Amino acid sequence: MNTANHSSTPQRPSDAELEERIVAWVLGEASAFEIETLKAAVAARPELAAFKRRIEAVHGLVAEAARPDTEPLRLSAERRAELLAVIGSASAVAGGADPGQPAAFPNPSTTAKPSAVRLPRQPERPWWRNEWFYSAAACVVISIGGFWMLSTVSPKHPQRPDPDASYACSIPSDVQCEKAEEELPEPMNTVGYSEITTVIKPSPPSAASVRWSVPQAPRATGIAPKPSAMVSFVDLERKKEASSGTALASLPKREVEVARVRGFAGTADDGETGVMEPFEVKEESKVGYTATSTLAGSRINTQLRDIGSAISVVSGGFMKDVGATDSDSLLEYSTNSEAAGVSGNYAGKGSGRASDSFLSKRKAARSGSALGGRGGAPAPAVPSVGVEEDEIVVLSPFEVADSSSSGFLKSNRTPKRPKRPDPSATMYGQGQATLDSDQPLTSTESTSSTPSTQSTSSAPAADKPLPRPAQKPAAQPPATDEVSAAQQPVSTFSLHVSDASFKLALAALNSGRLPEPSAIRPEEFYNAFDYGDPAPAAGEPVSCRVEQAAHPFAQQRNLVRIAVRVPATGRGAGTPLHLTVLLDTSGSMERPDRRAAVRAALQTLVGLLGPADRLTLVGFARQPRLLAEAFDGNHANQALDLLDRTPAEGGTNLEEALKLGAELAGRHFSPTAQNRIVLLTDGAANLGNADPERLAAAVESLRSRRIAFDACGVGLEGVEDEMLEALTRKGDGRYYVLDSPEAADASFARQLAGAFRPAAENVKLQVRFNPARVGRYRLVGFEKHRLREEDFRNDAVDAAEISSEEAAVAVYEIEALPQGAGELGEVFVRFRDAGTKEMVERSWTLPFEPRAAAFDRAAPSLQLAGTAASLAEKLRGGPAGDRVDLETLAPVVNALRARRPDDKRLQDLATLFEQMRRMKK
Amino acid sequence: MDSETPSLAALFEEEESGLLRFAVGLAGRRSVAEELVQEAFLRLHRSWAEVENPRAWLYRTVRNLALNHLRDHPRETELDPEAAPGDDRPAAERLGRDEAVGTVRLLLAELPAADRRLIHLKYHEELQYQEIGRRTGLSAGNVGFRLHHLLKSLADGLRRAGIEGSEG
Repeated sequence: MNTANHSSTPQRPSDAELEERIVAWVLGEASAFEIETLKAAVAARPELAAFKRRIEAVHGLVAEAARPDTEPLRLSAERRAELLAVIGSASAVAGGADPGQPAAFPNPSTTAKPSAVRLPRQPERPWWRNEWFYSAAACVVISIGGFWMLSTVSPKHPQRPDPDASYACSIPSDVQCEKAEEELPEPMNTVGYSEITTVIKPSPPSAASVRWSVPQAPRATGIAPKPSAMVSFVDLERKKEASSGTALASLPKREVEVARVRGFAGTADDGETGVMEPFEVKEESKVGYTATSTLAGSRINTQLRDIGSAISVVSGGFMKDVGATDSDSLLEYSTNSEAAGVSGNYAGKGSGRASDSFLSKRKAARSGSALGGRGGAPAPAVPSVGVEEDEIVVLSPFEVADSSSSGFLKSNRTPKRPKRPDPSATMYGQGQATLDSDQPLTSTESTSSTPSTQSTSSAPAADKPLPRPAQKPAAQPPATDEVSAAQQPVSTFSLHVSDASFKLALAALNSGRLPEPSAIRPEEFYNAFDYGDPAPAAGEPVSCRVEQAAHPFAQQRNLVRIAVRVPATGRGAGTPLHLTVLLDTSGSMERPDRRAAVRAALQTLVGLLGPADRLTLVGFARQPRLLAEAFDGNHANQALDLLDRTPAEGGTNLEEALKLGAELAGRHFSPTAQNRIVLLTDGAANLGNADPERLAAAVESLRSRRIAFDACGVGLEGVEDEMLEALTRKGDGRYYVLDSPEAADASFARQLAGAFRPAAENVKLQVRFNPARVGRYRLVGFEKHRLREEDFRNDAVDAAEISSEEAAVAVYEIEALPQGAGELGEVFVRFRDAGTKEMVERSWTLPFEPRAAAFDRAAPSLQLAGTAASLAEKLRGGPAGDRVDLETLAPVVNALRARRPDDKRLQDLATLFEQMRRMKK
Repeated sequence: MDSETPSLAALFEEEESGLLRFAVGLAGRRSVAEELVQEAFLRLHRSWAEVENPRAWLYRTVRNLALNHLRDHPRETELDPEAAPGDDRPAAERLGRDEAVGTVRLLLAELPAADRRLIHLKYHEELQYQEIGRRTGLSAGNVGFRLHHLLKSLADGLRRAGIEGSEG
C-alpha cells in the first residue's frame, strides 16, 4: 500500500494521508523514497512539522511505557508488608496473570472482563461528578417545579409571598446548581428570563438581577435569601397535591416553564401568594417590564423630547476653545448647570482653573496683535490646552455655518472617527480643527455667549475622554491593529509583567481624572491579577494554560488567554544579593506620604536581606551622595538610620545617580551573587539629562554587565510613569508602583523578594498561528515588547524576567475560521532557568474550539482577563476601546467580585470599573 | 480477547514499579509516592468488585491522589530524587518524563482491547505493519491507519492531561 499510494496519486495527497504517512515514518515503516518526499513536505509546512514532533514525542513515550523496567522500584518493606497483608487475602478472583510477565506494560491478554454485574463505565469518578446524575436530577426538578408552579400560584393575597415561592432546594441542588452554572443555556440577564415566573413580593426588577451565584457567595446583587424559608422537595410535592386544582384556571396563558433559581426565598409565614406580573419579554410596547411606549416610558427608551429640561450639547471645538479639561470647567459654560456652587458659574469658585486659563488666554490673544491678523497666520499644530502666557491662541472660527459637520453649531454628528487621531489634535479622535475659514474671532462676550446657542447641536464629544492637562503635547496611544495570519503568522514578544499601569490608572480615576491614554498598557492591566493557574508539576520548569471564549465585543473573534507559570523555587541559599539602592531625596520626595512610603519600602527591603547580602545606599538629589556602602544584611538597619538623617533638598538628577549607582554596583559586583540596583523615586527628573532614551541606554549597559535594574515609583500622582517604564524595559528588572506606606506591605515584599530570585530570565513568548485556521489576530498589549521572529531563539536579545511562582499572561484576539483545518497554532516559551542557567524551551498547542463559550459563560479567569483588557482598551481609546460597552461588563464584574470578596485586587478592579462608568456618563 | 482478571496480588506485582514511578513523577517525593501507591491499592481492594479495568483505575487513582496531594501541599519538593543508574538526565526532566510515561500507561490501559493489542504488537514485539496485519487479520494499510489514529488520540489525551512539550 505504501508505494501503491504514491504511484496512483501523483497529485498532492490529502492531509490525512500525509499525516498517516508521517506516522508510518516515525514508526519506521516508510521506504527511503517516501521519507524523502515526506521530508520535503514537512519542511514546507510548519504545521506538519509540529505534527511530526508531537507524534515523535508520543512515540517515544509509548516506547518507554512498553519497555520493561530494568530497575523496578519497590515500596518500602513495611509498606509492602502492610499492603500484602490486606490484599493478599483477597486474591480470590478467578484467573491470574503470570507474574513473570514484564511489569511495565498493561498486557492486553489479561484485561479485566466485564462481568454481568459491572456497568460499562469510564474510569472511576466520584458520584457527584457524574453527568448522568445531573441530567436525572435536572429532569426531576423541572418536572416537579413545573407541576408545582401550576398548582400553587393563587391570587388570594397579593402581598404575602408564598413560602413555596422559594425555589431554594435541598442539598442535591447545591451541587446541581453548581453544575447548572456550567451547562444551563442562558445566564439570568438575557432573554431567558421570559421563561421564569416569579411569585415573590419584593422588588420585581431585581428578578432581572438574579445571578447564577456560586453557592458560597450568593449575594453580589439580587435578592438576599432568607434561610428560614428553604423548602425541600418533599414540601413542594405536598403543596402540589394540596392545591392542584385552583390555580390552573388562573394562569391561562402564562408561560410557566421554570428554570432553577437559587437564592430566592419568601418569608415563612402564612403561605399566601403574591402574584406579580410575569417577567416576560414581550413584543408589545405598552405592557410589561420593558414597555417602551407608555407615558412614563421605560428607563431604556425615553425620547429626548420627552425630557423636561434644557439640554446643552457641547462640541469638540467648543471644548478646545474654552480650554475645558474636566467636566467642572466645561459645565460652567453650559446652561442648566451650576458647576461652581450657589454663587453661579462665573463666581470663580469651583474649578476656576479653566475659566482662569481661558481668560488669561484671551488676554494674551488680545494683547498679541495677531488676533486680527489671524487669517494670515499659518494654521499650525493646534496649541495644547495648557498654554503659556504669551502664546497665541487660535480658536476655531466662530462661524455659523450651515455645514453640519463643523463649527459650533454642528447639527450632524460626525460618525467617522479617524483611525489614527490627528497628531496635531490634543483631543483624541476629534480632528475637528477647522482653521481654514478667515472669519475673525469676535470678542470675549460673544464667545462666552455661545453656550446659549448650543442647544441644538449634536453631542459628538459625549463619549470621548476628556484630555488631561498636559505640559507637553500628549503622546498618541500606540495603535495596534489586527494582523493577518497569512502574512505574518508569527507573533513574538518579551513576556514582561508588571502591574504599574493598572495601579496608576486606578489612582487617577480615584482622584477624578482620566488617566493619560499613552500611559495605559493593557498587558499591565490583565497581569495585575492572580488567575490561580496551576503550578508546574514537580520537576517541570514551566506550565502553560490556554483558555478560549468568544470575544465579548468583537464580532467573530475569540478571546484567548495564555498563561505561563513558573514553579516556586526557594531562595537559593548559595546566592547572596548585592543590592544598591538609589534613593531620591529631592524636594519632591519631601511630602510626608512619600517619605513614609519610602521608609516602609526600605524597611521591607532590608528585612529581606541576610548576612551574606550586601546593601549599598545612595541618596541623590542634585548630587548623589553615598550613604552606606556594602553593609551586610545584619547591619542594614543602620543604613536606614543614616537615611533619616539625610535632608531632602533640591532637584533631581537621575543621570548622576545612575552613574554613581553603576559604579558602586560594579565595585561590589560578584559573579556568584545576584547584583541589582533598585531605584526609588518619583521620577520627576529635572536636573541633568532627563531624556528617557539616554537613561535607558545607561540601564542597558548595566544589563550587559549582568547588573539588574528595578525601578520603584513612589506615589501615584505625578510619577513619571513613561520614564520609569522605559528604564525598566531595557534592563533586567521590574517596575513597581508604591503609593502609600500601606502598600509597602506583604505583597510588595513578596514582589520584591520574588524579583530578587527570578525563576526564569529572558522570557520570550512566540505564537505560531496556523494560517489555515486563523484569519486575523491581535495581541492585546505588549506594544513596547514586541520582538522579531528571529529574536526568539537569539539569546543575546534580552527579554523579561519572571520571578519565582509567578505567572505571566498574554491575551490575544483571534479570528478562528470555522472552515479551516487544524488547530489555531502553537505557543512556544523560551527562557533561561535561573537555577540551572540553561535555556529551556517548551511548546503547547493552541486548540481550535469550534464552539467556544460565550464570554459571560466563560471561565472566571478568562472573564477577568477579558474584562481587564477591555477596560484598558477603553481607557486607551481607539477603535478597540470604542467598541467596549461598560454596561455589558457590569454583571461580569459583579460576579467576579462576588466570587472572591476578600481579594483586594478584584475590589480594585470593581472600583476602577465604577469610576469609569461614572466618568463616561 | 482474553478475559481473565488478574488477582489483586498479581496486579500488585506487575504494576508496583510502574505506578511508583508515575507517582514519583507526579509528586516529586519518594515517601509521598509510596503512600499514594499504597493508598491506591487499598482503595482498589475495597472497590474491587466494581472496578472493570483495574489497571487504568489504579493509574487514574494514583494520579488523582497525587494531584490532591499537590493541591494541599504545594511546596514540597525533594531536592534530589533518586536516579536510576545510567539515567543522567537532570532531575527535573526525569520527573517530568516519569509523569508523562505514567500518563501514557494510564491512557493505554483505558484503550479498548483491540487497540491495546496493536500497541503491544508494535512496541513490545516490535513488528512491522505487515506482520501485525498478519497476526490480527487486518491489512497493513488498516494497521497503519489505526496506529495513526491511536497515536493521535494519545497525543490529545496527553495534552488534555496537561503534558506537552517540544524540544525546540
